[in-house]
Order: sequence, then C-alpha cells, then structure tokens
Amino acid sequence: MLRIINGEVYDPINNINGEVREICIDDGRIVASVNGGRTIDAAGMVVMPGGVDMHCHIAGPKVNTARKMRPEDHRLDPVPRTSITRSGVGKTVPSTFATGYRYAAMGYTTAFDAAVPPLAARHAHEEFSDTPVIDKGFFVLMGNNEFIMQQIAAGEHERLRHYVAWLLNATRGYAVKLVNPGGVELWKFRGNAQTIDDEISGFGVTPRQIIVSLAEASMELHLPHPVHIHCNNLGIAGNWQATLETMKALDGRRGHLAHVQFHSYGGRPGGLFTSRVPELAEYVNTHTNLTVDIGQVLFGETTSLTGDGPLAYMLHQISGRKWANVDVENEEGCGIVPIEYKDKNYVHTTQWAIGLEWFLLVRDPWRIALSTDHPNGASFVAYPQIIRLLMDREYRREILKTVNPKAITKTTLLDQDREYSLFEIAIITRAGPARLLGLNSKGHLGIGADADVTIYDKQEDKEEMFSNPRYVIKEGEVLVEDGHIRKETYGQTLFVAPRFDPAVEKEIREYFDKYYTIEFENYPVQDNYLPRPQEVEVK
Amino acid sequence: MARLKLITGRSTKQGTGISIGKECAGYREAISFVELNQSDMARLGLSNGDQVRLSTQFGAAEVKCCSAEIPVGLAFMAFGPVCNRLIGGETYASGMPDSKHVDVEVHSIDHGPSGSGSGSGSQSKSFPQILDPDSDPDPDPDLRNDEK
Amino acid sequence: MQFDHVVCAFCGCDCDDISVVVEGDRIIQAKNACVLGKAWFLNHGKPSDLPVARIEGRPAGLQEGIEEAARCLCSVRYPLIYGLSSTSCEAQRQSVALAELLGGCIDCCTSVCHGPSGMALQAVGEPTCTLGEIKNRADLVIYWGSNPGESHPRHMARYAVTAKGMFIRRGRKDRTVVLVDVRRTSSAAAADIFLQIQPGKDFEALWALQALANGEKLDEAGLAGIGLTLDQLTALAERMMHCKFGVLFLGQGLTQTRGKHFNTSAAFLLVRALYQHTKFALIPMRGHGNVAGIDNVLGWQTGYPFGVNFSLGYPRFSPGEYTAVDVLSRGEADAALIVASDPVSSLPARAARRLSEIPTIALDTHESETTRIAQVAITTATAGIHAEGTVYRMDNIPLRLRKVLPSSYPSDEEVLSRLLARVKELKAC
Repeated sequence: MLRIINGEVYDPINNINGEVREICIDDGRIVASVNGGRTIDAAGMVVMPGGVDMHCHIAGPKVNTARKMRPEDHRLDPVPRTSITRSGVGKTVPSTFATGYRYAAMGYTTAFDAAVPPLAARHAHEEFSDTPVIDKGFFVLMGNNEFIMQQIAAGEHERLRHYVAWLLNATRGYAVKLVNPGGVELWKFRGNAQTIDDEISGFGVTPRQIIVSLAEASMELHLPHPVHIHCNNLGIAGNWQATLETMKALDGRRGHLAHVQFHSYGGRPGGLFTSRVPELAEYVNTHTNLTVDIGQVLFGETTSLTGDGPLAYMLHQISGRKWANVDVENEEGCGIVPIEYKDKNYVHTTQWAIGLEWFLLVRDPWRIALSTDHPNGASFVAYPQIIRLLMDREYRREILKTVNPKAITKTTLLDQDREYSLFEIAIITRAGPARLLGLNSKGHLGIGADADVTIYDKQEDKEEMFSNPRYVIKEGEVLVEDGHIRKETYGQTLFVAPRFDPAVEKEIREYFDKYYTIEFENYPVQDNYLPRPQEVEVK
Repeated sequence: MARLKLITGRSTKQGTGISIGKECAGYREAISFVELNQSDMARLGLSNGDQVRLSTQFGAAEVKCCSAEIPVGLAFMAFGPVCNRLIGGETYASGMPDSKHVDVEVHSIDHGPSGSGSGSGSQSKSFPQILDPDSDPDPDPDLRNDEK
Repeated sequence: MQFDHVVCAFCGCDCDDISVVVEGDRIIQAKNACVLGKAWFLNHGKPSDLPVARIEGRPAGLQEGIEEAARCLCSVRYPLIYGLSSTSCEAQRQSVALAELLGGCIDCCTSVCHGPSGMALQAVGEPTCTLGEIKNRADLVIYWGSNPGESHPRHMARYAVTAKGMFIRRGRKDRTVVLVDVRRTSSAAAADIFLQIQPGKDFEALWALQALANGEKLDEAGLAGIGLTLDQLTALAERMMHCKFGVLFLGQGLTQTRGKHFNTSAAFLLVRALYQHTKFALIPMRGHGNVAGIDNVLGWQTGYPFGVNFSLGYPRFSPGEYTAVDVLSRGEADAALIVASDPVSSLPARAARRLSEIPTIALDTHESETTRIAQVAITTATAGIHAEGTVYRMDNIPLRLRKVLPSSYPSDEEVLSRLLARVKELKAC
C-alpha cells in the first residue's frame, strides 16, 4: 500500500493537468483510497504515470549481434554490480540487466522492442527474462515474410489473416511490423525496393500490396496496435515521397509510421537533404488514422541497428565503419553499423532538425510519440535531452547556434516558437504511447490502472529533471528512490493471441517442410519463455 | 627423423568416442595415432601401425602411425589429450593456442633417441598419463616467470 | 515410445528432426541422426551407475558435493568457470551469475574454437545469414578449413549441398561446391573443386581473393608459397563474384592455424568485398551443440562473447588475458568450475595440468579425465535427453531441448542454481 500526496499530477488520459492530487496504490493498482502503508510526500514534485517507450531495440538477435560487435563501446561505460543489481555494460547497446535498470532509473516502466524476426522470437524472450523492471513486448517482423507474399500473390487474404494470427500466437508477439516491406527480400539477392510499387521479384507483389494487406489484417484481427511501418527508402534524399505514398496507400486504414524523421527527406539521391516535414506533418494532421513516432537524432556516437539490411550496407559504404548483416530465412534480415552524428555536419544537422520539426508541427500530441529509435538516432537515456529541447525555447535557440547553419536554413526550425508543456510531455512519453499500443491499464493514473508511477522533482532544467526521478514505482513497489535502485523485480511480457482457423496450419507446415530448416513443431515459443505472461485481449 | 607440420582436428571416431566414453578402445585408438604421407613414412622406414615418437617444444607422445591422403610434410592427429601434449599454452594474446601448423619431430621408435624406452611404456599404462611428471619432459617455459 | 522432432545437441548443426525411440530406461534408436548424433543419443540415453557426487574420488551426496564446491569457490581469489558449450542456456545463465558473484573469469570452448571468428566480428563486422538462406538460395558453397563430413555429418545434406530450396530447386545440381584445405579430407569427395592450400597460408590466399574482388591486379610472384596459383585464385574469385548467392563456411582450419583472428578477419573482409558484385555470406562452423548459446548468453548479459572477467565487479573482455588457456597456463586461476566439458583432455597439456594443481569442480554427465582429477565431481543429466533447455544453432537460431528420459541426476541448471544460492549465503557471512 502506498499513498502519494501533495504532488502535481499530470494524467492526460484522465484530463489532469498539474492539479495537486492524492494517488493511492494497493496490490499493484491505482485505487480510490488506502488505509495504512507508506506515504510519499511529493510536495514540489511532479507525478506522472511511468514512461512508455513504444519503439526501441533492446532484445533479440539483431541487438545481440550489435552487442558482440561493439566491445569498444562497452568499455566506455561499465556497470558494476551491487548487492541488489547485476553488472553489465551501458552506452549505445547496453547489456540486458543494464537496459532494465536504466529505463527504470529514468522513470520508464514499459518498453516495446520494435522488430523481432519470428524465427528468433525465443531469443528475444530469453533476453526479456534478463531485462529487469520494465513490462515489455515486441513487434513481429512480417513485411518480408515469404509465406505472406505468396498469399498476397495468390489473392488469399483470408489465409494471410489466419497466418498473421498464427504467427503472433507462435511468437507471443504484440503487433505486426513492416520494415522496408519487400526491400529486405530483394536484398537477399542484393537488391532493394525504392518505391512502394517496385516489384518484388520471385513473388510478383509490391510493397504497396504488403502494406495494405497487413494493415487490413491487423484491423480485421482487432489488434490493439495497428500495423507499424518502417517505410521503404529510409535515409535516402527524396524518400519523403515513399513515405507519403505509404500514408496514402493506407487510405484511411489505421497505421503507425515508425521513426518518421528518417523518412522525411527532400532533395535527390546523392544530393543534399532538405526537410519535407511541413508536407508530411500536414498530411498526418489531416488524417487521423495515422500516428507516428519521431526517431529523433541526437549528436554523438551511437549504433545503427535495423531490420533494414540494405540501409545498413549503405551507411557502411558512406562511413566505411564496420558492418554486420544477418539475413533470416523466409522472413527478415538486419544490418548493424556504428554511426556518429556530428553537429557541424549538414546532413546530420538536417536530420536533427527534422525530428524537432515533427514534434513542433504535428498539432495533436496524442498521435506522436517520443522516440529515438534507440539506439539508431540516440540512446534512450537521452530522452530527457529531447524533452528539454521541446520545453525550453531558449535552450533550443542556444543549440541552434552551434549546429550547421546552412542546414538549419533549409528547415522551418528557426521559425518554431512552440514550447511543450508538462501535460504535452506526459502525452508523448506515456499517455499517448500507451493509447497507441492499446494498453488500457498503462499511461494513466485512473482507478484500476497499473501502479507504474514516476515522481520527478520540479526543476528548471528539464533534462536534469527527467534524467533523475525521485521515485519510480512499478506495480505499486518503490523500486527507485533518490537515484538508487532499492529492489530488483521483473515485469510482465505483453502479447496478443488472436484467433485463427487451425486449418491454416496445414499450408504452413507444408511451407516449413519445403523452405525452413527447422521443424514446424519446434517453431512456436513454449510457455517456459514467458515467466510472467500478460495477454492483452483483442476485441 | 622427419620435421613435419602437425594439424590437429576432429574425426568421426573421436566425435563418437566423446559420447561412447573416453575410456573406450575406439576413442583411445582414434586419438592415439598419427596420419602421415606414404612417402614421409617410407623415408622413416615406417609401416602402418608402427610406433612413432612425436615431439614438439612443448612435449612428446608416442603413437601409432598410418598412411593417409595427406600432403608430404604434414601430420594429422585427432583432438584429444594425446595431441594436446604437443600443443603449447601460449596463445599470443588471442586466447587460441596453436592447435594447427605446429612444428613436430617424428622419430621412428626403433631408431629414436636413446633412453626413450621409458616413453614406450606409455601406451601400456592406464590412460592417459599426461600428468605423470616422469613421462612428461615439459620444456614449456614458466609463462609467468619474468626471468625467462 | 517414440519422440519426434527432437533436437540433437551434439554439434552445431542442432538437427531438430530426430525421432528418438525409448524402451524402458534407455534410448534404443535415434532416427535421422548422423553417426555422431546416434552415438550421443544412445550413449547418454542409457542408465549410469556413477554416484551423483564424488569428493576427492569418494562417493558423496549431492548436497555434500554442492557444499564442498561452494566452500572451495568462496575460499579462492581467481576462479575460472569454463566449458558450457554442451549444456543449456539456462545453465549458462546460472554460470555467468556465479562468475560475477565470485569475481572470477568465465570462458567457454569458443576461445579454442571460433573465438577468432568472434574477434573478427568485433573488428570488421560480419555478413552472414541463417542456414535456410543457404538451402534456398546458395548456388556457390565454399568450405574453408572445414571437414564437415567428419565434424558436422548432416551439414551438407540438410543445409548446404544437396538440400533443395526455393531458388535452388534441383539441390546439388544447382550448386558448385568448393573445398579449401591443407589436406584432401573425406569431405572433398562431395566437392566439385578441391583446392589444396599450404598450411599457414590462409591469410595470404584470402587477402589475394579480396584484392581480386576489388579489381586489383596480382602477380604470381607475390603468391609464392600459398599453394594456389594465380589462375586458381582468379578462377575462384570469378566464381565468387559471379555467383547469385555464395556462402563461405569457415572451419577451425582458419581459426586455429597461423593467423587466427587475422584469418577470420580476412575472410570476413573478403565476403564484404564480394558485396560489390553479388550476394555473399559467411557462417562459422560452430562445433559444439550450444557453443553459440554461451556466446549469446555472455553477449546479452555482459556485452562480450567469451573470455570475460568480473574481478572489478563488472565484465571486462580480453582474449589472452581472461581466456581459459592463458589463465590456466600462466597458473593464475586458483580454482576452476568446469561445466559440461573435459578440458583436461581438450586443452593444451600445460593448461590441463593446472586443473589438477588447483581445486577443480566438474559437472559432467560421464566420467572424464576432468572428473577424474576433480576435487568435487557432480554427475548431471544430459540437456536434450534428460533435461529441457534452450540451445542455439551455429547460425544463432534458438531451439528448445526436450526431455525424453527421466534421470535421477540433477540438471546442470539445478546444480548451478543451488551452488549460486549457497555461494551467496557464504559470501553474505
């Protein structure tokens, strides 16, 4: 039992904007009142629901290959063990224990890995079992799935839908994820997709068809989160068109566009980037079926790790830095390259500015989420830096003076006066993502909500404020207090289990026999891998 | 005597022997013979099944020899405690010892260095006496010793 | 009773289509298994009369064995935990926790097998794929320094050579197979082209191929001693550049010979250079059934794949410093916990000898040279036969191990978890 009194509460889902209110917790949930237990006096503090990260890369084969590839990064940030916590390494691709502790230390209590290949779902779950504190789940890569492409080509939409449901059950995943749909399949013979109407040779379908079919299937299955799309052509000058085409192709169907900053570039390939955020943001503003997360770039060294194999190769060709590529049979792929964003570099400054433009130009904060596509744009531990840039116009202007000036003039950033309020920050870092994910008991502090609560000292310097919460409460227990972890717990794994027609297994099994190298029976993730499973109902 | 390069590696019999049990005859045999090129054997006056003494700067072992399709100048032994007597513990900051491409001297036992009769009994002792100081010359330098 | 779709965890192929027939208290058949797999199932799948624990050779109870092991590990300054390649990930995770708590080193068979491949990943990255990509797409298959016929008997049939796939409909007929080795092994019979390279010249050959892939001109004089002529290298480079999808399988012929991680880096860079022309991948031929597993567990828990030290309370990595052969050969380790491995047999004699000079605790399913010299030996159940768990195939695909027979012995996971708990108690005092 716990009571939090005298704090300024920001609970946008329940329309609470800074009122001083009492929050009562019992048995892991928010309740109307409690008798007894601890009382936290939060006078002078801000109380919010725990943070929800809806797009990051923290578990699975891609992340682990990146870890194994980056010893030089690890050495910069060792994480010693304590009597309560395990040791590890931090920086851009932290080890699993450190990942959980650092999210917690920042007041985030839920995170979703954005891209897991189904064949390695078990691996992601194993890593999750070693990721403390946070509730977690992952999106299942399907945009280059060969079985799906075959069904699209054959016009078998119903079978496709049953397969999608079967796959979500088999992987204990949460949502349908597309990464460079069709492009990664072409990459397996050294090609790529540039537009959504390119033909995927060998299958006779286009990215457009993949996008529409899977958006449709996600809606038909009533999944809590819509199809989550990393558009074709990420990172290339001129790619805003593929992004716009993707949005248009959805044609009113619900869809979430991931790390949209990386997909907002004008100019021509090989030429200089410009920002096309105004056009894209206006489209998002006027089409309420669409939501985005930003994928903000911050200056400094990080690691690019993505399901977009050809993109990673391109980054390697530009920078010459070491490069890993892993193609996964029948399903997906990934690429990994260390990357440094430099504040005097034209392209990097443009990317940084574009992310901020998105934040400042989209009118409805409920439809955008704060993300850096961790670690592609920056580490998740840098979210407070973004919060400060959004809330503090003067600080933003200071930083604008230090970046590449020519790049800034090609964006609208100099004209942007808007400052985010605490209420809006609470939306884009917890309430909004929780809603976008369809997690009804997260991201708010109403009666019955999960008792995941973060309490911050109210400070002028918002980066300082959001970096060092005073208290972080998870499932009603105070886990972090005054910067120290008091207790180590493990959160739940959130997954969906939509129904499917078992008859579809016959075709899937035949497909396995021909093209996979493991048995159909050995593919689904067993119960053992989810020590704390939490099914999220599909309606 | 011949100076050859020793390669160590997996073999099917060594692999099955791991499961069957390393005391079993099949495994002991699998890891206790060296494959040599026919002309290297002829040079040493060896026939299939003859005993030879292999020695490197790290240690020595007595094994049977047999001819195999292997280039002149190479010798092959399956992984195991016998060939490991011939491999040193220095990894040159790689973690990996030199398990392949090791300089080895091959002596026919009948014409081998005198006084090696003590070694020839090793096959008849209980297996494998790698830790018996009497049968292990171990010229390997003390890798911690600053004086060396 | 028959169990289907069972994983054989002996070698890095981790074939999961084995049908195991159990009769009474033993396995009598392992259908589909190769000779190595059959030996594994049939020999591990039969009753044993070993005592569950031995302390200095004398039979003891499990609790007593664990107590003695805990007492021993808590009384030293620099313990080494080693092995781990033939047990489940669940046991591996306990081992890492124990190494961290003890402040010692943890290393696995990787350091004497494909550590150099892991080091190449760190140096230059790694263009790779899962085995199904080979089955479905590869029209050029190269084994370099590998003898799959003897080390991974089903590799060629199941994944790489005769297997038919989506874009390789005729299997063997649609492929060209090349074997590069210092000697003509039995695997060469399956190859279209056998290239005999001089021992210790792999780096030079791989570097020359990279140069050719980069469009550079080479002269014959510069290739002296490699054992391959300019024509042979040029022909191979042409095949590699003009195939549709090529794969380079790397064996210990590269990792264990002169050059080691330079050889593997050269191979990785060659494959990267080939991307200028076509699609190519490399896959290290991981030997043990779950060596990829311990690499992955160490990777996600510590950031490093092998040779990890916890003396400062956080993980540090340094091959040559914290790797088993070095830590033992230099006499630094003052105790050892060996899990599912027989280093007294498999490590160089100098390192092996250290294990009998220091208190050694050994967990194994059978008697071995290591259990024979161990201060405390604990007999454990075989993961994949008597105990469930997770393994990772050579291409990092995770699979679930089944339990097809009961056992009176505890699993490695159970023993290590109890050992960890006891060590925690002792350290808290």
